[in-house]
Amino acid sequence: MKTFIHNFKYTIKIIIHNKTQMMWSIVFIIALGTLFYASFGNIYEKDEMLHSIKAAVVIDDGSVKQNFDDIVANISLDGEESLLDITEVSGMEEAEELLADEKIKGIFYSGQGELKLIVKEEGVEESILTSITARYHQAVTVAAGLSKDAPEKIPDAMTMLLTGENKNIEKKLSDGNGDTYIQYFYNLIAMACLMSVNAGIAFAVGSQANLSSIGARKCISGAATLTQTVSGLLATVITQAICSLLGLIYLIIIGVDFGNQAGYTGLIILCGCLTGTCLGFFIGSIGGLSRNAKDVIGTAIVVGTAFLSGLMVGNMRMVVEEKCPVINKINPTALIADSFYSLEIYDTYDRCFGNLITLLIISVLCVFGGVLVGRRKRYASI
Amino acid sequence: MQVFNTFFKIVKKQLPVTMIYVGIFLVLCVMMGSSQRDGAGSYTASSCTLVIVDHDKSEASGKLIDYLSGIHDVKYEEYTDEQIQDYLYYHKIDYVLYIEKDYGTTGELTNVKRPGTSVGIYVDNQIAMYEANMRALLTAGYSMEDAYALTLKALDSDGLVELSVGSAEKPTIYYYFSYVPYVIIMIMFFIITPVIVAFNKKDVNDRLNVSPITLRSKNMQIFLGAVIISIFVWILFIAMACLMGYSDFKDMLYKVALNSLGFTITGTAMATIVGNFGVSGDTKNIIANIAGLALCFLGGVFVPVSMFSKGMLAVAKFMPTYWYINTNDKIFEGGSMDDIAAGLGIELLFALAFFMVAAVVSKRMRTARSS
Repeated sequence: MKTFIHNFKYTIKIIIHNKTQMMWSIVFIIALGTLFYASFGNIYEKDEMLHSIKAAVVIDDGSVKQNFDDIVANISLDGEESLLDITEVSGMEEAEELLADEKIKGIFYSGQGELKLIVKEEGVEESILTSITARYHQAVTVAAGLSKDAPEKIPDAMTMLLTGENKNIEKKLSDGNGDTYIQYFYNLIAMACLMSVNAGIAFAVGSQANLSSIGARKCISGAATLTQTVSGLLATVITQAICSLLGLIYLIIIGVDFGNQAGYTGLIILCGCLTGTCLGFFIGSIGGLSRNAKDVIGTAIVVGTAFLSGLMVGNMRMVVEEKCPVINKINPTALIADSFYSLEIYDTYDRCFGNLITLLIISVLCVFGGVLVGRRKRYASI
Repeated sequence: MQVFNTFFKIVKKQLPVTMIYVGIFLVLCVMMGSSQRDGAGSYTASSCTLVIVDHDKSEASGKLIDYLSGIHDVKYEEYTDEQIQDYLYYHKIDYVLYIEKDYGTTGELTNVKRPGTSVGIYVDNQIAMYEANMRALLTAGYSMEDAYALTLKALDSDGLVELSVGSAEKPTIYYYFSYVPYVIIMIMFFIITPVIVAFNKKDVNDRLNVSPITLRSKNMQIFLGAVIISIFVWILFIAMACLMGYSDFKDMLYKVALNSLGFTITGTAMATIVGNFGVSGDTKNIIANIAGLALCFLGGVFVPVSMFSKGMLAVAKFMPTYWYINTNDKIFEGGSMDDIAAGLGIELLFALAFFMVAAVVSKRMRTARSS
């Protein structure tokens, strides 16, 4: 136990001594987190949630204007806010200028006794404006149809059209934060955790007599390899987890919503750093490779898994799920990010714990593999 | 040309590792480009991805499905609640509609959507209009067939809406070229930075200082070496693009080639700055990731700048990646050489500025080392 504590203490000292590396690990989260927050911290609220849509109205025809006003008066957001935010314009020319400058989404105008619409591009808000035009057209067409076939039914039909009961009931599957863009922050923290691969490689290389003088000193010491390995890895994991936690705390301070389950969030980070470190330990223990080659493999794993998890292309996780779902089940970055997601979205912890157990299994396999390839080494000359 | 030769000796020594990096990022770039071809998660125009689960299987439910499938991309698979939640979150689907049993008589429906979003409310609106129309006509004595025919006519907005600007679909190769900046930055950091660091090692530097080679000559030879390497990498990327889909961009080949060459030189200049600071190992990896991801997120490589606020857009304009993407968009929108010249010029100005900063850093570090 004394050897374990001694080794644990000195591994921490070695890691802390490398201040630049530690600082950059924290800076990685702080710099990119700030950037993400500034770039798309409120995109979901701004672009995906429905707010009043800006439009201009240039309707000369009196009856069209009257019917248009009636329809608009009957449509609202949540029963309070109006669906349309009408911008006052002097005429068509001014309205077209506003449309070109993207200050409004559409122009309602009258032509041949009908309500018409001009939009700049195709999109959901433009489609909602289109549905207002369709609603106007709907009343006119139904009234025309009924006037031929059953004129006495027109009043009842019109009442049904305008005040029909809504029987399409919304079912909510989760009360969690549905902001899709928060997954970028989940992936950022996941990548930061997995960057512990570098620390794991450094630890493994530092334990090999042919690659470092500390490794040579360790090899001739009386301490058991297992004690040295476990205490060293534990120290590495803890320091890496502290760096990631500091980054996470910063993100929470600036306003990123990571939920309110601090204990579980900490546990995910700890498991993530454990997997990263153990993976690094395994790579670092492979004997025939140079330090440079080990770093390449480490970088490839960190960047590659972050890409497949969706850090660079948001929907990548779903593409992988469709093409080869098994990758999402073993990709450490995807598992860490999915643990944050499931913690936020679901009421139960089954999926989150399932992910953490997979991370632990990967970690154990890596340590086992690392010890296996690194054991019983004899050096003819160092 | 001693320094120039040594530059390539170092590159040659690191060639296996370098080629692994180039290979990895080349694969990444191809995957990034290809992933966008599936278009998963993005809805275009007024068409959304709907999942419809029909528990009624009546004539009425069939008509509702016909109506919605005429507008949207409809899937009929039955998913678990967990899958639906995941698919909605990741935008693989936009709306799930359950047509309840006895819908034909009760009109009862249940939906799951991203709460409060424009897409959800848009589909809600469409279903409500269809329902109101059908109910009004059926109550008025119309048959199901006649009511449906008149409803389709009533809800058709053809000829009522004008589009002032058309939007063209972009080929897969567009996305490949959109993601090139990230890969170029990363590759340049991994290839150029270690070579510059090697030149700045105390022993090598001291040896160079006592030689008759001037600092200016040394920097110029390193600069030349770096540019040759960047051209080699650039040719690899263009060759890969040609393999992926030459026919998609043969008319604009020289424009995309110029644009990517401009950015490759900019990426090389950035890597030169970091190299002159003597950064290597783990720290270099982290800095490469920060620089690569930050520049690409800010410049609109990963998330379109159209989503940015005005303030962020102003900041984005100070990023070389913004000008690369801006120029790339113009090229694929059919822009002429005049349209893209400004963007290209700004990219090269960034490169020039970065090389000048690298020269200043090199001089400062040299002074610091000698003192």
